[in-house]
Amino acid sequence: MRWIDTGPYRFRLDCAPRPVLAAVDVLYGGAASSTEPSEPADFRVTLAQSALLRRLMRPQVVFRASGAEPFKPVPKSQAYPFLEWGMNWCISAHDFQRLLIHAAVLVRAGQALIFPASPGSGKSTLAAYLALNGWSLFSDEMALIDLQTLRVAPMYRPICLKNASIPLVRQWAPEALMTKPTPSTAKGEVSHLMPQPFACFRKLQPATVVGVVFPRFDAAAELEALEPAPMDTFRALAGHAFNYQVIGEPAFHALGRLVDATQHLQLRYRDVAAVESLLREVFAL
Amino acid sequence: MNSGKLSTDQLCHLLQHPETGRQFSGAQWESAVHILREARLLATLAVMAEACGALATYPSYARRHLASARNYAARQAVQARFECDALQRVLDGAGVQPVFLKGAAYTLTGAAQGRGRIYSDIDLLVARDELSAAERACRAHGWYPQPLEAYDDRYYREWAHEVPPMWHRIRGTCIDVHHNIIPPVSGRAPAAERLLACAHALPDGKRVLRPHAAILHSVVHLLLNDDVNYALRDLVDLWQMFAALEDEAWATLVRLAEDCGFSLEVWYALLLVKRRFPTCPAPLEVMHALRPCHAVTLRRAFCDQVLAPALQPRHPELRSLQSRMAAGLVFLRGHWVKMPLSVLARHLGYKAFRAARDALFGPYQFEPERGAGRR
Repeated sequence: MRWIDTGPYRFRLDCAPRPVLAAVDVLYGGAASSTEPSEPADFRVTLAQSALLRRLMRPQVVFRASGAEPFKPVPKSQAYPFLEWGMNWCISAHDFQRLLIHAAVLVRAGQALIFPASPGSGKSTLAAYLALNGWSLFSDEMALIDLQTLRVAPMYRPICLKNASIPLVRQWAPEALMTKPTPSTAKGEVSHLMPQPFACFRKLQPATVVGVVFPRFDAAAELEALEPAPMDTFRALAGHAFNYQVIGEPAFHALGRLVDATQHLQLRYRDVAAVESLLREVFAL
Repeated sequence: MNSGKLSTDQLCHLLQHPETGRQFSGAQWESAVHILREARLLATLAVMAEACGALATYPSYARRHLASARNYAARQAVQARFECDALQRVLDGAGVQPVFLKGAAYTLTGAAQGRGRIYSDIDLLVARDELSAAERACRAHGWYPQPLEAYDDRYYREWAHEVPPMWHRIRGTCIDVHHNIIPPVSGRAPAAERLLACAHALPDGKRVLRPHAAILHSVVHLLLNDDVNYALRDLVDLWQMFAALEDEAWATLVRLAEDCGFSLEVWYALLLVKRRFPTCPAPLEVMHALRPCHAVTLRRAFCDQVLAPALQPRHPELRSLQSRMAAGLVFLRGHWVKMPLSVLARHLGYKAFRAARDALFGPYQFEPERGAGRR
């Protein structure tokens, strides 16, 4: 059994294959514990082995939480990334108090930028680069936005790197804490990177969002930055939100205020270092 | 931290007296949140605790989860009203007069048991001779059944009291069109006209069952069903409905139960609800009128020793050997009362074959569709 403290959400991992527990211990470090903490767990999750014969031939694991099995089982070799995706599901299927937007969140000088993006846009690679270069990682996967204060809360979760970005990040930071790559998942080859130790994470406080950046990696592009119309930013944010439809009106108003209070950029880039200096210049960070 | 294990009675006590949650330890709250979430009662507790002012006194952990559940339920109620409007229009156009049942009806009437109730489909009752017109109209407006195994499709067509569930192809909402409240093959189905006659129109024209008939339907769902996953939720519904039943409606309930042959079931339901929710009214003369003539002691024992433990949330923390055996018995009984023996033997034989096959190969090997979204 493991307890994982991600900050805003605590998970109790009731059962999982041994290599998964080992990966949890290494990646989460001080945030993982094998003794019951004093705070109650928000989600109880299980990675169970599937049916009898399956254990012998091509073994699979099933993810369960709150009596639900939201996904089809995957081969046991993919158990670790499966756990991370299952944890994301728990949050997005149960939290209707904060606005949850599918986005990376990075903070510098107490100011947060959120990077909503579709798969393949290079969001995670950019997040990894920024996190390894002095920015604080609040999340690679979802921006947790308070409906009243509009502040974004930090969450201690790894970055999910895919395919070509895995060797790239290895090259940038050979010492970085990363899981052994898992080949042929639904997202291709993946590896999880924890760019900051738990001790640093614990010092982070919710931050004000100053910008919304839509990144788009293009190997052939010169760095290009456009300012989208506020309406387009609003629509894109609503489209990337997990629980906008459920929260309804309060989410609509919060998003409207967020769009009014922030600056927006649409980026096409191939060089992450150039993006970093552009962001620091544009947002005066 | 000390063990936070809760019993079903403790959870029911919490639902009846939300202010007692103030004294819960963190571990007890963790347990309560997880069990109630699985039993689909988290939002119900949120609504009840909010109404009596207890919610604000809860620890932040409980407040957070309850508020999220309440927000979800509120959104679902909006969606349900929207779907009911759409269905009413579609069926009206086909000359069908639907009666909304269960969750959807509770939401439409604004009844206490509808507040914070989570349900996964919209149930409708139509007259048998309007069934195919209703099905055609739904299909023509975007609701489609999912591909079924030939066996399951036949199960619905030949034996069931409903047509296979249909999902809206854009909104994903699910509807269940019934022509009775229990499969006619059971030999226990009441005359559908008797039930349809218990419907009345709401101010906007949508039809729902009157409270006494809604109770009867809920009782049948609770006790003559093989699916007891949400039994505690059904008991909560019944508690709320009994509590709101007007004095003169009790006699109407007794008469309807007699006419439909469910007096024993309503009697069991009152005993069960009263046992879990002692504040629930159960007038003596009603209990007397419903009480079976024979084997009262034996039946009371069956109610206490088998039904009550079986109808608990299926959460590992609440499971005991007794509750599991009882749930097994109730599962068998649910089938037994729904099907004649020859049909039952075939049905259980097929289900056993499928269970054995799934235990070996996993449920996804033969029916990939069953994977996603299974609850």
